[in-house]
Amino acid sequence: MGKTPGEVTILLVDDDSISVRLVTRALRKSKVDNEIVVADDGVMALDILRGINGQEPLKQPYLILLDIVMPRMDGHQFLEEIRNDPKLRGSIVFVLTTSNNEHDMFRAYDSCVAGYIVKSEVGTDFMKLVQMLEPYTFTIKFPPATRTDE
Amino acid sequence: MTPDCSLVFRGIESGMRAAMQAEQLSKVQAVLIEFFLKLFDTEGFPKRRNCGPAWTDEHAQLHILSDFAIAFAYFAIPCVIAYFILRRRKDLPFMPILGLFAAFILTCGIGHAIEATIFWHPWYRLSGIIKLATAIVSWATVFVLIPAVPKVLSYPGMAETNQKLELEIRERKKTESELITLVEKHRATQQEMEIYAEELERSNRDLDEFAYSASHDLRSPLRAIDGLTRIVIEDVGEQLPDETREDLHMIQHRVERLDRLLNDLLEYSRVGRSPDEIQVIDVGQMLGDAIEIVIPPPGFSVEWQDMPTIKTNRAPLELVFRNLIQNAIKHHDAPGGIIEIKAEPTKTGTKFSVIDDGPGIPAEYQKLVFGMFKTLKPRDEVEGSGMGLALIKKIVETQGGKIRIVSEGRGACFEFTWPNRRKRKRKKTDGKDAGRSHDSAG
Repeated sequence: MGKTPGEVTILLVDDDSISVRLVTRALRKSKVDNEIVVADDGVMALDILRGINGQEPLKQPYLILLDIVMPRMDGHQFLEEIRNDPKLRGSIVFVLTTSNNEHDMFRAYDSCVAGYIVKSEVGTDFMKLVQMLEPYTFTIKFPPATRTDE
Repeated sequence: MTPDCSLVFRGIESGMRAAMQAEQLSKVQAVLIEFFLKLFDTEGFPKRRNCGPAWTDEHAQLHILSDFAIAFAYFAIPCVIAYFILRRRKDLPFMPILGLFAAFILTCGIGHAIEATIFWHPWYRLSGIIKLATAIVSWATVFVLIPAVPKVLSYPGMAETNQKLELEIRERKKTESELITLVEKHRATQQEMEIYAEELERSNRDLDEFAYSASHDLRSPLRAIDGLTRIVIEDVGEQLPDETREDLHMIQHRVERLDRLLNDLLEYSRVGRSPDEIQVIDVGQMLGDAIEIVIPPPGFSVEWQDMPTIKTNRAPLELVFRNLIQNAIKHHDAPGGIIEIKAEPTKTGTKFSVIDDGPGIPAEYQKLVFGMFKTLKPRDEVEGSGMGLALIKKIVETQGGKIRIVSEGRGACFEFTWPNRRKRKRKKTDGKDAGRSHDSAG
């Protein structure tokens, strides 16, 4: 409670640096100045979420934009990992991928993603993604940073 | 002969004599009756042993023993014949002859037995009757044998039969070994088939994997190029010389084309491997849906009348129509035109025609257009991957239909058959639970 939408951190998990650059640019262009954290793959994203080497775990509220095909740990494996982690289980994840393979879609939704976005559908400039995310971060209530119900 | 019997005979005899005297019986009858009455009577006949001074006990014994030996052998022969005929082989030919032969032998045997007894019991009358019986049976046998001889001769001899049998056995053994070879071959073929099936499955998996990485690994860089080009145009487009800006747009166009080609390639690789959903569809309604996706440019209209309702897999049929309509519009040389769709029932399904009033396709190119990456115009003039018709052909043929072009002068007619589907083919499990995504979405 008490968090403003602007405080929602966006964790971008994608190994394609140009894709990352384009998404970041699109967000900034639309005056979305939320903090953006980038991870190259699933392993790095988990490290950021859990906090390693004395680093603080990523603070709630956050929203994950997850690519599927990545080196080391791909999107599906990453989803499996966080859904089995009591602390990360509730994470809000949007899949953002080039794959419009139905198998990927089923697997992603089985892992309770908030939405499956195919990159080719949001324009090469990702503007449609930003147009979707902006109201989302304002309308959707994110869970508080710390759990008090356990 | 027992005294009682002789008394009875005497009685009959005296009665008969009385009858004869009364001239009630003819002479022949009387002789016959007397003969049979005295059948077992030995009176007035000498024992053969006493029939001459040359007879000695040794002579008599030789005759008696030989006659009995012959008699018993003769009794045995019909018994053996009867045993074989009755117990083993009811299918033997010439049964009546065999029966007669048995009777003939039997009477001969009886004759010899009586001959033996005559040495001490001279019942010559009985002996005569038995000889008569033997004579009758012998002649009967002769008369039955005569017409049977040609038949018997025509019967294959044992040797011949055996030869034939051997030949047949050899033939059968040969057939058997051939059969075994065939079975083995069949088994080998089956194994081969299994290997091929496995290979096919593996190659399908490879294709899936290829399609998957193609869609990612090839498309990602494309998107990156397109995105970066867009950024450049956005950021500094105003300051760039017109030519450079045009170059950037051309980069974007090529990227789009490559993207479309990728999509079509993937689509092509997927034909026939997507889930097979058979449903009853109203083709007219389906065409309406297809038009909504194609959105013909102003000036173009797509027309149809009386479309049937058919049972088929909807997605590929719609894809074929969409591609054909798009194709007709894309290659039209006038700012507007009419595309007409017709349907005609056939024995096994429906024949559809998509007819346009465009430039038509010259005969020499008609076969060519179904090839992959074939277009009849330079790439830059018509936006297309060159796979549209190849894809359509593959879809139609996968469904068991055929496609051809009818075009003379202006206008082209793409005519394809679409077989009816009765049974559901095996259904793949992929994608069967479409829709559950809504339940689980965060």
